[in-house]
Amino acid sequence: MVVSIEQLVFIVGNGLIFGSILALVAVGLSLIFGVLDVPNFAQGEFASVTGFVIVGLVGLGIGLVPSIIAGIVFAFVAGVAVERLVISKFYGRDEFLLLTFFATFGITIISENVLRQMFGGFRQIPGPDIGSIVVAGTSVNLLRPAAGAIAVGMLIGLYIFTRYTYMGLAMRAVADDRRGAEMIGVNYERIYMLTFGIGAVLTGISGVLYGMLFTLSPTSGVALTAFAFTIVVVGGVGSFFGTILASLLIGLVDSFTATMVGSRWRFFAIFAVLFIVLVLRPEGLRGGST
Amino acid sequence: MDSEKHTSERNALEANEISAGYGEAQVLRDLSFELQEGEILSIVGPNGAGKTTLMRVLMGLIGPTNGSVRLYGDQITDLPAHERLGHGLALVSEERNLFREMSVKENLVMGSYSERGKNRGERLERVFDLFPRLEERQDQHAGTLSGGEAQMLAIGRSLMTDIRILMLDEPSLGLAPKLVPELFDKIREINDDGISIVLVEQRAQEALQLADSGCLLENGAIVHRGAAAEMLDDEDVIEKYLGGA
Repeated sequence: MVVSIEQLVFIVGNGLIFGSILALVAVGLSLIFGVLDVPNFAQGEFASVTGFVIVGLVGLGIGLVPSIIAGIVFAFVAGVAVERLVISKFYGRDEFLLLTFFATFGITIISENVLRQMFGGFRQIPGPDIGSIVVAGTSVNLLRPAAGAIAVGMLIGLYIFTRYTYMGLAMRAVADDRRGAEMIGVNYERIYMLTFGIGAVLTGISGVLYGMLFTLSPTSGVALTAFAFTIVVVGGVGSFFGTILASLLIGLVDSFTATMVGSRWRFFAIFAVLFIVLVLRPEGLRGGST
Repeated sequence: MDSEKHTSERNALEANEISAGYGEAQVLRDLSFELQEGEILSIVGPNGAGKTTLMRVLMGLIGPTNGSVRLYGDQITDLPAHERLGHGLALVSEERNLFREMSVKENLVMGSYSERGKNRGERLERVFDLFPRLEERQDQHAGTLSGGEAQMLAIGRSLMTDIRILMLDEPSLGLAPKLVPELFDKIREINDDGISIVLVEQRAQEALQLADSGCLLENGAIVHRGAAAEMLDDEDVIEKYLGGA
């Protein structure tokens, strides 16, 4: 198997862009798991639902920018609604982890079928035309690196938010010691609600970027969820930088496999990475550190 | 009240006939006491007497099955924990409940969460004055601190807002014995700043020496209360609770 320089640029470029989009899903999942202990199997649905809401609004003749804003607001509301209407019913119950896993699994099934009924098959968000450049003899639509840059910008924003704002610090505090947070005046149920909303927005933005660069289908959500769970385990549960590192790694492996081996081997390759990491470093790449 | 320190007759904190427990197990039975403004009240008693449960009820982390809690005369029995801090009541729990993955500085900053950082610089300075060690370690993760440092951080964190009553649950637990007098000196210093103190301790003798008044807790009920100095002189109390010293 010989990789030409053009292919290499293509593989690495696509891998990093896809990886940074995946990171938004994985960080959302990781945030919700860290703060609420909910293994949110519906995480990827925030991406597909947001994407399809925008597809629908654009289809109604509404401009792209207002549609995107509406889609992101919808993601926040959907996240808060999932926490308030579903997850909060299980607080204080035994088997919380299992109950919320199955409940969010149910949400995934509902969401997938509603999307199928409303939109049918594959759809795309018409991205803005911002031109293209030629890299190593190949023309690259600037939308692709721009999407990657937006994803990276969101991740940097989240990092700053959790380090330098009271709300972000409170999220980390609740994740760390809920009782302690309660004693210093944190209303942890409010933090739970906001965490779900913010996790949904991060993943919703990944849905916007994904829908512009690739194609959305009703099963995109569950595929992204599978990616995100793999990434969180590979990166080390609870580690922000581990999650980002694993996202880029998985993005690169996916890109390489899709280009050089064949699309149907993508999930095989990704789960092979998961398998190798679990055998060699069960705590994940950056397990135990933050 | 013959102490030279000024303690007003106003009740800062009042527990009236509190009963509480976990599930079937009743831990506290008809327990009542008052904390006067400005004083140090030591609640002493053997392990399992219900001291930690009492602290949790007072802070609102668990609800009593019966009875009421008053703060400066206001009924707060049903107030959730996160709102009690806004009324000036703070707890340093036995487990300390630090944010172990966060830095010492971040823990202290979080201490000012309920006031969103009002006078944060000033309060931080005051905490660092009281515990210079914390300033040296401000960038370290809280989980890496020694027992004594962790206790300083837990107390320091609670001083980051404008509190009027500080409840300390077994602050000497896990501390090297030689650090205990130093810790008690700090508690005295905090009290001198006008903060009323509820000190729950197994080290009965030392705790009563520091206190203005005392309560003996046994099997979930208060079996003796009075001025701390008198309790230290009471033959009966000495024999039963202070190891006959």
